[in-house]
Amino acid sequence: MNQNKYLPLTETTFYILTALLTPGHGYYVMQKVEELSSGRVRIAAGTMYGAIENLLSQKLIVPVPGPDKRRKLYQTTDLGRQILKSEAERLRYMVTVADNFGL
Amino acid sequence: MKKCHLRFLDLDREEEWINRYIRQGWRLKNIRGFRYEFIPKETGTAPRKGEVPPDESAFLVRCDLRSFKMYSEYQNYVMMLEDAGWRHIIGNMNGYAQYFERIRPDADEEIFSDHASKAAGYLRLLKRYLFSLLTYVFTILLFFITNPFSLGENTVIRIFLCLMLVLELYAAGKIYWLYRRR
Repeated sequence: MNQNKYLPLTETTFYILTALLTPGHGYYVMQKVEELSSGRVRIAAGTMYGAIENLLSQKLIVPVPGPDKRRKLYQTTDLGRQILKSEAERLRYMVTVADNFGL
Repeated sequence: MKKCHLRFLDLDREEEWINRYIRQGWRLKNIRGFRYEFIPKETGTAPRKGEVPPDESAFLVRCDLRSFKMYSEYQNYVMMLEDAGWRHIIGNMNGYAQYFERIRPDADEEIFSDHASKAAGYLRLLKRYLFSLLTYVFTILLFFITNPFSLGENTVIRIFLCLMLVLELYAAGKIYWLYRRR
């Protein structure tokens, strides 16, 4: 499978896909991403909506049914999870290289 | 109070212009044509659930360029922004300009955290109007090509179409400029 068109992930996308490993709505993702990144990545509301649209069209997340009609829920797809794994591997490898150079 | 202003070429400048009044203690109520309607901070609708008393940047206004095909999606969008502390004040699902006011002090002061997502709005606008603009321009040019020198009863129509052509080229240029300017 050609994953190259998805990789490397931006920091924001990485965190969004990770946050949505469990289903959540837009604002949940905003809060979760800030928490996961210890405040490094803050996504504003308009940007968040656009990011969700992009990820939906790339089939990296899907809408899931939920109780609240006005707040749609999303979850990372299997493809999304695979991309995340590949990205994590890529990052781990780079960290090893960095360590070897004392960075 | 009502203030008038010509249609803003630049949405960033429009935001700045509106927010100057917000910082003086006003709130944006509505926009109709050239009229921007402001109300004093203290008046307006009763505070909704979760709203706290106004701080300095309360009711700051930001604009997003987006339209929607389905009402459920529009609701989802409005709700997401409201959860984040931005209440929708002007706009509907078919129009492209959506205005929000900041109702929570812990909310960000922007609705975009990067330039690309803000610029995407201009691109949406361009895509939406480009096709009809090109169709107009083509039709008008066709008219001129087929009747190059006939005058008389066609003169009024031809002058009108000249004006239309100029206006449409101006609009196309404006949208393109907005897109480039991002």
